Amino acid sequence: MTHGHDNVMELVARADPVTPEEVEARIDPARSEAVLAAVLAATPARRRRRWPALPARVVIPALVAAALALAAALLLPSLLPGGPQNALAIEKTDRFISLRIEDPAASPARMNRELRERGIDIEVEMVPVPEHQIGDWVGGRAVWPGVSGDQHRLGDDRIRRLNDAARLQEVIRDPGDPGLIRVRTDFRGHVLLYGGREARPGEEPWIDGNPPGAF
Amino acid sequence: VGNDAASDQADAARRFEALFRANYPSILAYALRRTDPEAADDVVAETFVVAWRRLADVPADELPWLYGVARKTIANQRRGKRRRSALMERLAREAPAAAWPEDTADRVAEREGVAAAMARLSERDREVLRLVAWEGLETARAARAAGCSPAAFSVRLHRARRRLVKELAGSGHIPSEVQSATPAQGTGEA
Repeated sequence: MTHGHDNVMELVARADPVTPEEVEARIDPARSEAVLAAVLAATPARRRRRWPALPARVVIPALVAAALALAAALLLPSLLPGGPQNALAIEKTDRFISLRIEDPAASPARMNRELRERGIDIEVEMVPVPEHQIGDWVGGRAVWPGVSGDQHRLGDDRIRRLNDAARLQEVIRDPGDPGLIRVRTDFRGHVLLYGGREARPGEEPWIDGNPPGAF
Repeated sequence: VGNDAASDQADAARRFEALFRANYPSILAYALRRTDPEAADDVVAETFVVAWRRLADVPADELPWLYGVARKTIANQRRGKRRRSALMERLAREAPAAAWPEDTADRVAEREGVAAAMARLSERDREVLRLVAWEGLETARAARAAGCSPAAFSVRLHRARRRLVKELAGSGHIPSEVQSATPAQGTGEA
């Protein structure tokens, strides 16, 4: 009897639908690295306060308002002060768009113009931050098309549904390098990134990616 | 205090990264065996998110624990959308000659027979069989992955084997090598 049962297990083993070769072929190093970075960005809940979940009716008008403000700023590009050659360092690969802030003093209008000139549909807003975060990406929002109320603060830990984990892989902030953010080239949602700049006199800095008085 | 917290976080990140790199292929294979490739990617990501958030709870022998998380993740996925097993659909859809070009017709028939018989078992029975035969876990580790005691797992495995043999016999797919294990009629277990 036992011998027969062992043979049954051999039968089951032979019916394994996935060979080691298939698993190996399925492993995409870029994707696994993206998963690793996204998971590490999901800071354990006990260490990070959550942003309140905002419905799309709040987020989307805010994004529209930001876009309108951006459009107004773009009316004056020739009057913008000089500085480094580029406000942003932009690198595009087949899979990712990588962004770094080269000139934290540059205006968001200039940064957004550089993005548009590269055909990249991402918005940048510069917010006042503590000195050690100047030039870092301190937060942002991503809105996925066709998903009502579905938005994330980048780098937060609100991963509640299976799809969310996959979606976080589309916008990645490396916790070990907060000056770098990567957005997948096939991402079809809307991304608004908050970059850190020096606080002006009287301005309260954002803390941990949150505006003053958020809590 | 701030430096200590940052150091703890860095240590945790290093431990997690090692855990991730050591176990990513196994968790991906586990997920691919139980769901479709697209859903498998979600299962893998979600499993490691849970591991990261509960890093302090992850035991030294981490793989069975991760299998357990992946199992629950897949169960949640299926609870939301009841459907025929994607794996069984895949097995039924694939042309055997293309999937296993080295196989003989007898081997293909055997695989299909086993897959069909497994599909008629309960999910619990299938899982204990898969943990042993596909993931290659011995009883103690398989029990941790299944979320039960080793003794309970042994009983489950014994019963699952007998039920599978019975299903194979009922479908006429049972190979001669296991006919001696076929339970007599009327001895089915609850």
